[in-house]
Amino acid sequence: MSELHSKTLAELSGLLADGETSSVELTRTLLERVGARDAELNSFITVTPERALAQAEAADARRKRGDAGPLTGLPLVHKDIFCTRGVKTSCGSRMLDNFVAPYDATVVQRLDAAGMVMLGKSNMDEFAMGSSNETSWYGPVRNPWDTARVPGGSSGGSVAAVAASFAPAATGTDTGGSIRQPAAFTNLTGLKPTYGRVSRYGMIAFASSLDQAGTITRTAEDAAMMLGAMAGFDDADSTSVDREVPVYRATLNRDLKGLKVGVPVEFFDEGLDSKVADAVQAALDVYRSLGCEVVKVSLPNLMLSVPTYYVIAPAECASNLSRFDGARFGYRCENPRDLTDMYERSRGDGFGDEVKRRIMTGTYVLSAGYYDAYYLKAQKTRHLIAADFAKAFEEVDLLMGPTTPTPAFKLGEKTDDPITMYLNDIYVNGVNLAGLPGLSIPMGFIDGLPVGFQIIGNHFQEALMLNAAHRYQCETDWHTRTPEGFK
Amino acid sequence: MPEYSSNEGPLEQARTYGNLLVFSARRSPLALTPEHVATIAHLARLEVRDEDVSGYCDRLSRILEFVAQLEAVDTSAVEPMAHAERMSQRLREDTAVPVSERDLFQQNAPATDGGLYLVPKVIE
Repeated sequence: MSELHSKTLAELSGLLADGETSSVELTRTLLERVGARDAELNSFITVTPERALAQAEAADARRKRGDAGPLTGLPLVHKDIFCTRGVKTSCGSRMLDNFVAPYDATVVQRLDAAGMVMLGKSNMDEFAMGSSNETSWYGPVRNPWDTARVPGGSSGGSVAAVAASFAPAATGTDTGGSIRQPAAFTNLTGLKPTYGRVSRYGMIAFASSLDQAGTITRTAEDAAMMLGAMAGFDDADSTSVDREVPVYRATLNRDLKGLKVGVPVEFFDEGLDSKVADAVQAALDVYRSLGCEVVKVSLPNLMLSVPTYYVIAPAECASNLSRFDGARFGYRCENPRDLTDMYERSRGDGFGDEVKRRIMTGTYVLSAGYYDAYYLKAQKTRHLIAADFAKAFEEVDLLMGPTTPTPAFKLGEKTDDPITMYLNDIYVNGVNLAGLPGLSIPMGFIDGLPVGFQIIGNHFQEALMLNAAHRYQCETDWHTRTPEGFK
Repeated sequence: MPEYSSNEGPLEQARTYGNLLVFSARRSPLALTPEHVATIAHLARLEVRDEDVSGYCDRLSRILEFVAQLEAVDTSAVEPMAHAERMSQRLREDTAVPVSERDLFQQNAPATDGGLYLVPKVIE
C-alpha cells in the first residue's frame, strides 16, 4: 500500500468516504511535504496553509453532514495563472508580483464548490510563455525525475508538484502544449480539453483563441473526475460552449474493440528520438491487443503548425498584454517622467525577455504593411492545419502519437535559441490551432526519463479519449511509477 | 495609402500618419537592425536597454525568418481562420451589472487618491 501522499484522487476519495483519513490529515501531510522538499524543485510560488486547512476543515464538516461529493476534501494546486480572490496571482511575472486577485476564476470557483482544497499556487513560465519553466520571474522549476532537467512548461510547477507527490492533482493551462508537454516530461496524465469546454474567465489571457484550462493528474480516471467538475458553460466567458458535460468517469471502462486509431505519419519525422518512436509503437501494440484498428493517416500541413503558432500566439499576446500599463494594477516603475515613460519602463522592467520577444514579434506581425504577409497568412495556414485534422477524423475515432520528440532536456540547454525551444512543441501546437482536445499519458522511460503518449480526439470527444487512456492504464503500470528521489 | 518602391528597406521607410506607423511591405525575411528593434519596442511601449538591443535583433530576426516559411504555402483559395471553433459570437442583453468593489480593486493600484487612479501628468 502506497503512502497517503502518492495516492490518486480516486483512491483518496475512497479513503475519505470510508473514514480512513480526513481532509485535514491529508492536507497537513501534504503541506509538511511541500515545506520539507519544495526548495529542491521550486514548484510553488505561493503556499496557502491557512486557507488550505480552513478548506479542509470545511470539507470534513461537509462530509459529516452527508453532502460530500467525490472531490470533497481532496487537495490540489492551482497554476498561478488562475485568479484566486485574496491570494497573490502572479502569472510567473514580476509585473504581477504584487497582484492580489480581487475575484476567483470560474475554474477555481467550481473546484472550490466541489470541495477541493487549494494547497497553493504553482510556478509557471512567465504569462505561460515557455516550454521549460525557465522564464518564470520566480526562477526555474526542476524536474523531480532528474533535477538537472526541466519539468517542461508552461505548467512546470503544476507537474513538478504532482510528480513529487506534493499534491495528487493540479490545474494547468495549454495554449500550445503547456499541459501535455510537461505531463509527458514528468510521467503524468495531462488533459487539454476542447477549446470552449472549460471557462477562461479569471484565467490570465495569453492567446485567447488558443488558451484552454485542463487537468494534471496521475491517472485518466482522476482527470475524468476533475474535468467533470471544471467543465461546462459559463456566461462570463464569451467563447464558452453551452453543451452538456458528460459523466466522464462513467464511460472509462468501455470496450475499445473496433475503435479506429489513426497514426499521423508526420509525427515520425527526423526530429523524433528513435527510442520515443519505439515506445509509441509499443503503446500502439497495447491498443491493437485491446481490439483497436490502427491505421496510418496524414496531416500534410502539420509541419506548418509551429511557424503558424508563432505568428498567431504572439499577435494575440501583444494585444492581451497591452493591459499591463502600470496604471491600475501591477508593477509601476520608479518616478516616471511622463505617461509614455511610465508605460515603457513599467513594461520594460515588469516583463522578462521571452515575454518581450513575443510582444515585439506580435507587434511586428500585426503592424500595417506586415499584417497580410504574416498574420493573415498564418490565419490561412491555421485553417489548412485544422482542415487536415477534420479530414483525418472523417476516417478515424482518435489520433495517437508521441507528445514530444525527446524526453526532458537539461536546464539551460535550449535557452539560447528560441527556435530550438519552440520546435519541442511540434506535435502539440497543431491541436491548439485546431481547437481540439489532447491528452498525454505515460508510455515508458528512456534512460530513466519518462516519455508521453498523445491521444487527440475530435471536438468534445474527451469521454472517448479518457476511456482509451484509462483502458491503457489498466493494461500498463507506467503511470504508477514515481521518481526515486521523491518517494 | 502611400506607396513605397520595392527596393526601399522596411522600417527605414516607416512613416507616421497620425498615430499609425506604416511599414513598407516587403516579402522576404529580414535581419532586423537596432533601429527596427527600437521602433517595434516603442510601438509596443517597451523599454529595451541599449545593452539588450543586439540580443533582441538576433533572436527576433531568427523568429521572423522561421515564420517566413509560411510564405511558400499556397493559400490563395483558403479562408482565414480566426477562431478554433467556427462558432458565432454569443450576444447578451446590454444590462448593467454593478460591481461595487472599487476599494478592493484599488488595493492593487500603484497610486490612488479619493477613488481615482493617479498617473503622471498628461497635459501640461
